[in-house]
Amino acid sequence: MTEPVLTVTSLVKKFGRVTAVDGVSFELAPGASLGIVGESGSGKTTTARVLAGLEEPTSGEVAVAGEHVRGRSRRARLRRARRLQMIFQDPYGSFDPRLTVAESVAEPLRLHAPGPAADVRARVDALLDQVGLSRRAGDSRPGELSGGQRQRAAIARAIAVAPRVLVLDEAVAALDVSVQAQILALLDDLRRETGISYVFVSHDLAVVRHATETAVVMRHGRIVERGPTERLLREPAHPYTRLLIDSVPRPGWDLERLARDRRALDAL
Amino acid sequence: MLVRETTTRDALAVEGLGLTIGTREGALPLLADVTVRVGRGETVGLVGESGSGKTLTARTALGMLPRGARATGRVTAAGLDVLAAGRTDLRDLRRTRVSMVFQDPRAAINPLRRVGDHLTEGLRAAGTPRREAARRAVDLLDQVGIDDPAGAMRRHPHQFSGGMLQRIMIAGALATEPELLLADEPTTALDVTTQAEVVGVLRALQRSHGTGLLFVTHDLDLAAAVCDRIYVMYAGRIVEEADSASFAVAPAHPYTRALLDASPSVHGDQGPLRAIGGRPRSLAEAPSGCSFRDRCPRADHDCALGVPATRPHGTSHVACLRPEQVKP
Ligand SMILES: Nc1ncnc2c1ncn2[C@@H]1O[C@H](COP(=O)(O)OP(=O)(O)OP(=O)(O)O)[C@@H](O)[C@H]1O
Ligand SMILES: Nc1ncnc2c1ncn2[C@@H]1O[C@H](COP(=O)(O)OP(=O)(O)OP(=O)(O)O)[C@@H](O)[C@H]1O
Ligand code: SF4
Ligand SMILES: [Mg+2]
Ligand SMILES: [Mg+2]
Repeated sequence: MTEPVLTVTSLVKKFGRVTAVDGVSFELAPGASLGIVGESGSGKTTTARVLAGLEEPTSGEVAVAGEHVRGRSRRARLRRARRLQMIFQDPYGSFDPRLTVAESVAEPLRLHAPGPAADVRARVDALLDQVGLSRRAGDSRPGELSGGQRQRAAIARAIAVAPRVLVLDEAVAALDVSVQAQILALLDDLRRETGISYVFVSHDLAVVRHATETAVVMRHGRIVERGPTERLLREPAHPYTRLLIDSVPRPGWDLERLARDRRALDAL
Repeated sequence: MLVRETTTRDALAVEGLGLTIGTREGALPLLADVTVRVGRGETVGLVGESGSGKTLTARTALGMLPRGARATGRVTAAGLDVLAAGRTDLRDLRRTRVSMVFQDPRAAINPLRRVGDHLTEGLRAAGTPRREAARRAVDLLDQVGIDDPAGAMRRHPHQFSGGMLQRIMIAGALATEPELLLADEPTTALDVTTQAEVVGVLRALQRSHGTGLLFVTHDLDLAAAVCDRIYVMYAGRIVEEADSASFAVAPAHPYTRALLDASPSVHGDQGPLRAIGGRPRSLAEAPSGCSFRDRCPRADHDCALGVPATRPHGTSHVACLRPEQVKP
């Protein structure tokens, strides 16, 4: 067995009286991709934010590449950021609108691996090329790019420091299908080329099917089912997983039966 | 086949609609030659990627044109010639005969007003007495699955989740039993389970009232599951019209094919996704001739010569020079 690159143990996150994440544990192997699915409010984003160090867990542990990461001091955050990066649904907010995309991509390089300006510039060019952005796009401000180009830029910046794990929270949800397919293909290529691992958070089961090999299903902050993604979709064991799958539109959709299943599940 | 009853009039008939808007650089085209029909009680999908013109098309049915826009062609909604109509006629149309549901219910409802006031507004405007309007509203809330409907009438929008609020908006939109309902991405902001519930509510009410429904979405699976017929838009034009049974199995336009190939699915075998190069375009950015030709795998010289005419192909109508080359 290879050593997991990410180990999450009994994670709990409370906001006042709300328990957003309630005892979540999973492991991620190097080069693997794990999906986190579940409906709105099930705790997916909170889990992702705790992994990325944007929230302190109430209890539980997160180990990245064998190292427990705690605390929110600048040093701790830098250490974590070198191993694990996060990408959001709309990366617009995470870019400085005054910087060009190339300058934004250069930022983490300067922070984590300072070197001569020419080296940084060459590395940035290579990164932009890797995610399929032209030099011209690199010289644009984030506001001048399309949603898909902006997501490519976010990926370039996230992989700049060669992290072991990328946490993607609804990273393709806002994109048009034709562009979404391009980004999914890019993520696929990156993983094959670099051996990076993904935690892929999405409410979209079809996207998760394409982007992951294993998945966990969250409901009310807990993992109710886990396993190979294809198995979960074909033979769901938990009634909630089945409800999620049956809720995906298809011809002959039986909406009345769905409503009954939903009520039965809520009554549990 | 797409044969329609001619004895009853359509709930919506958009014929050859063009829309341009004046800017400092000159006239910017937004829509060209858009034709969309929705029969009474029929559910019609309008699909396409962002910027294709879905919202603009739906809004013209209510006479809601962007400021400074010029429309050509003909739009008839619930019997009213919308482009020629005056303000009073349009107001009357929107209050009682044509309703709209939007993507974000919170942006579409006054947060300071009680849900009950929102729901009875249209009925009151149509002359229904206050008590009768309230009774109807409570009834509708019950039908869309709101617990304690009488209590809900007194609550404010922020006291409901997004999914619950969207049900309330649907109840409000159907309160006056309109001939036509325009639903613009009504479930896009909701998660799958809530989407299924909201669509169920929408379909049940629409069926029982015989309302024509124009269902705008970028989700092809959703359109195929919900609609009788589907229009596919690209860059401000309709490129294909198909009945929803043949839509997914026998697309006639290369763009429809490309969309299906690029869409991941939970059902069936998992094939690789095939991305289309480039990104969706608006009419103003689109190339001359066929708008899709810079992204189309079947494009040839003749595709640049003019905008392909819409013609029948199988059970579809398609604006492409070689639909026979599109594989099923
Ligand atoms: N900062 C916060 N303060 C208080 N409650 C919060 C906070 N962040 C999240 N929550 C609550 O925690 C729960 C889980 O939220 P979370 O955002 O993790 O869900 P999610 O699965 O990502 O949902 P979605 O699919 O809507 O993004 C919800 O009940 C939410 O209201
Ligand atoms: N008031 C306006 N002035 C100028 N251009 C406009 C205006 N409203 C819309 N447009 C443009 O018209 C095109 C079609 O817009 P529309 O909102 O109808 O697209 P859509 O298909 O609904 O897309 P989405 O899926 O993103 O909602 C877009 O390129 C848009 O930028
Ligand atoms: S007309 Fe030509 S470019 Fe346009 S969709 Fe058909 S084959 Fe493609
Ligand atoms: Mg979330
Ligand atoms: Mg729109």
